[in-house]
Amino acid sequence: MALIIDLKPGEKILIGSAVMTNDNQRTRLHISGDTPILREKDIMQESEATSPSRKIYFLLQCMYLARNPRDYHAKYFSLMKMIQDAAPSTSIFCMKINAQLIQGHYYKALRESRELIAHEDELIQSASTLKH
Amino acid sequence: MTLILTSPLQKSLPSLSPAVSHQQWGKMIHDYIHQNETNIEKLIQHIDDNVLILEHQKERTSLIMAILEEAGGLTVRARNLMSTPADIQKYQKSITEFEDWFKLTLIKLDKTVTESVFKNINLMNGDSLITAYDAKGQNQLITAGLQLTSTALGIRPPDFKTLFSVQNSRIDVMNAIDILVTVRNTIASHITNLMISRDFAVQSIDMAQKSYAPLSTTSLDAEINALKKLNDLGTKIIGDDALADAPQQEILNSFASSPNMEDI
Repeated sequence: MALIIDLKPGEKILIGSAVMTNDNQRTRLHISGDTPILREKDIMQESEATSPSRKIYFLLQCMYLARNPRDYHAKYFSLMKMIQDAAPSTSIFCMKINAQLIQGHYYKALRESRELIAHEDELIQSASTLKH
Repeated sequence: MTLILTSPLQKSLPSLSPAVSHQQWGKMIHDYIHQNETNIEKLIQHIDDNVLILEHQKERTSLIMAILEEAGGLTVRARNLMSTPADIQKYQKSITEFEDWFKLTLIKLDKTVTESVFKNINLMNGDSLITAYDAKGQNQLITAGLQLTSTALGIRPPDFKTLFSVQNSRIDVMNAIDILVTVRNTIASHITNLMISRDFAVQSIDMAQKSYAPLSTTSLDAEINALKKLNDLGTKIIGDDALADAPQQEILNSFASSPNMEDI
């Protein structure tokens, strides 16, 4: 079944290793096949990876884009272990992300990592709440 | 253990109500991870079994390739003796010998294909190998084999009487080689994918095993402090290098200063 994506005017999308930019009108794409697809709104730049969990998101994104995702395994697991050691309550998210990676579902792993980011944010926010 | 039940945690453990004690949801996380660990251990065994089969089948493609190349070589040698009608007459005996060898090579091909069974799987004869990533089999990697017998490959019975018919045999063999290369590449690529999955699985088990003890002793303060320390490391968190390698950074640069980006 084809994936249907609606692009806003001027929106960019990554399909495979090519970045496409929509012209100045809305466009609907029907995409079949198995290739990395990332919408502009899903893209994180390295400068935006400002917390450990966001760095995980960034590394997952790199794995998704890489021809050989193994190139990122060492960095990913090193950071993931650091996060889990620091905050054991993240273990469930680490496990869920890893479960997707085992199956080669990098996009789903990216989605799971948003939960890790949200958990990390809430933990940090709760610290400020407790102080006040 | 005193922790905060964040909204993502509540989503992950839907049967929990906020009134449930920390010990209870700590145990639920523990049980969830333990169940996953058990499943992953089974998956690693399954992957190992299937990689063994795929490695064996890949070796068989090499054997079959050698046979096809031998058949192709015979067509070339016959063709080289058929430049003119006079040559065909002159070298008739040798050409007939090449035709007989070609027939024998096809018999050898068919025998090799049927004898390629390993652990009840023969990708060379049209079987498929299924690697199920979960117990329900909802996520699978299916390595589809192809029938590689001479008939299935479309190699016509040899007839080395004319240059045209020898060329036909050559074309048949070249097409068969193309099909075989596709099968071999599929097998090789699936081995790579499974080994990547295995790497992740092994590391995931290691992480799961290390998570149990800290889960029962952790506290909100300790987690926040440790996360902040980790965050303070900034870009040095896993070394001096940039996180992205050059090819991926180049792709990401295409999205830099995009007007439509959402905050993540």
